Amino acid sequence: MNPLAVTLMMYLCLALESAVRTAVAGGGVSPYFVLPAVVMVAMFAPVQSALWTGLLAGLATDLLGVRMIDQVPTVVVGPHALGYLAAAYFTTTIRGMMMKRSIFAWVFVAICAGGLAQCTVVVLMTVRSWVDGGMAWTVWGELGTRLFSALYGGAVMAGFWLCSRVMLPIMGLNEQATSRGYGRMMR
Amino acid sequence: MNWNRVLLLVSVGLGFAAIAPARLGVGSVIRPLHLATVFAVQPSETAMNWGFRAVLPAQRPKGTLSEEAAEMLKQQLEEARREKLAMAARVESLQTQIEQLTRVLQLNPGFAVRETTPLPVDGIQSDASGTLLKVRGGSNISIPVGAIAVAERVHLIGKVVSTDALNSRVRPIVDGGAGELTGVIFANERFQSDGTTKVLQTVGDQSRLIVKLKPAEGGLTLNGISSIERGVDPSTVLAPEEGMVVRLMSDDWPRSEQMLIIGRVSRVIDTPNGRKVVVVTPAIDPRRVSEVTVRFVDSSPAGGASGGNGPVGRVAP
Repeated sequence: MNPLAVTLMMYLCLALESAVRTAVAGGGVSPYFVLPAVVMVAMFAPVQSALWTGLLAGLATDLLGVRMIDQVPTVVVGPHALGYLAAAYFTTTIRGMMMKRSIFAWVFVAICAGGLAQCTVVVLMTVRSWVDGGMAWTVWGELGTRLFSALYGGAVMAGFWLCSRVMLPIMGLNEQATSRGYGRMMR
Repeated sequence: MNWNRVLLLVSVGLGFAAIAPARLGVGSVIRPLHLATVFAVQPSETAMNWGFRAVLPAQRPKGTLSEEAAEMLKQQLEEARREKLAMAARVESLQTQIEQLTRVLQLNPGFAVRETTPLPVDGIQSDASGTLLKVRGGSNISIPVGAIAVAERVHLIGKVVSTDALNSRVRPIVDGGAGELTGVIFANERFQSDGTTKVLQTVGDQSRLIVKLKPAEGGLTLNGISSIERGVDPSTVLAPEEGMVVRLMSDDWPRSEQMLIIGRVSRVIDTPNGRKVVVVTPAIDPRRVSEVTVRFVDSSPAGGASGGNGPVGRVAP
C-alpha cells in the first residue's frame, strides 16, 4: 500500500464530502465519500494498514465537525474514528468471501460497512448526549438519516469501482496484499 | 513496536473522548487539531465548491423561496398595501361626508336630497359676467338651470346657469357675477386645524352670526359685514374668528340647499363703527374642483313639486 497516495485520496474525499454534501443532499440525506474510500482500502490493504486508515480517516472526519453543546461549539472526537474503524474491521473480515471484481459486491460491502459505522456513531453520540445534557440529539432521526446516507454511499462506491482500475495501482492496492494480510488478525 | 496494541490503546482513548462530558475540557486539547484540519482541508473544499456551483444549480435552504416567488410576493404585498391605504382614505372620506350630512340635516330638516352622482368638471369657461365651470352632464341627465353644484356633498360650489344636452355651466359663488349671499356662522363650529375640510362641532354655545357676503375682487374669497338680527342684543352678538364655518342661509337659494357650507372665516377686519368685516374662503376652491354633485328640485310628476328623493345620473349609489 502506498501511504502517500492513500492519504491524498482520503484528503480529497474529505474535501469532496464537505463541498458536495450540501449540493447533492435531499431532505438531510447526503452521500459519504470518506467511508466508501475506507472500505475500498480495507478491501485490498493489509489488515493493520486498513484499520489504521479507517481510524485516522474517521478521526479527521470528527475533527472537521462541530456540535453545539450548551450553546458552545464543541469538537467531539471518537464516534467517527471508532465507526470507521469498525467498518474497516468488518470489511477486512469478509473480504475473503467477496468477489472483488463485482460492482455489486463493492456496493453491498460499502452499504453494510457504512451502516455498521453509522450505528457505532449513533450509539456513541447517544451515550454522549446522556452524559452531556446540553447536546441536541435525536436518536432515531439521526439513525434514519445516517443509514440512508450509507445507502447513498453505495452509489459513491459504484463510482469508485468504475475508477478502480486507475486508482488501485496508484494506491498500491492489489489482490496480493489481501492474501498476505488475511489471517494476521486471527493469531 | 506492537501496532495492534497501540491501535487498541488509541481506540480506548478515542472511546473515552467520545463520551467524556464537555466540562472535562477534552475539547480544549482537541481544538488545535480541529483548526489544523480545517486549515488543511479548506483550500480543496473551496475549489470544489466553485466547481460544483458552476455545474449544479444553486440549492436553496429548505423553507426559503426562489427569487421569482419572493419577488412576486413582494409585489403582491405592495399592491395590497396600496389598496389598503386607498380604502382607508375612502372610508375616512365617507365618514366625514356622513358626519357633515348629518349635521346639515340637523340644521335643515328639509334637506331632501335629489342629486346626481359625482360629475367631472371639464374646465373653466368665460362669459360676459365672469368665469363658469363646465360640468359633464346636462339635460341628458335632467339637470335644470338653477340647480346647485356642491363638492363632497356639503360644500357649496355654485349655481347652474345654463345647460345643453351634454354639459352644464356652473357659476362659482366666488365669481364676480354670482351675486350676494347671506351666510350664518355658528359659535360651536370650527374647521379642523390641519387644513382639511372636516368640520368639528363643540357642545355648548349655540349663538350665531349673520353675514352678508359678496364675491371679492380676484375671485378667491367672499367678503362680508356681520349684521345684527332683529331682537338680538348687540352686546351678545357672536364675534367671528378665523377658522369658523360659514353656512348658507339665503332666501334666494332653494330651501333644500340651506346650511350648505360656503367656506371658512380666513380673516376678520374690525371697522370703525364696530362691525366686523369677515373674509370667507371656500374650503374647496371652486376653480380647482375636479368633480361636483348637482342637486335640484325634481319637477316631474313622480318626484313632486317639493323635490323627490334619490339620485339621478349615470350611477345610482
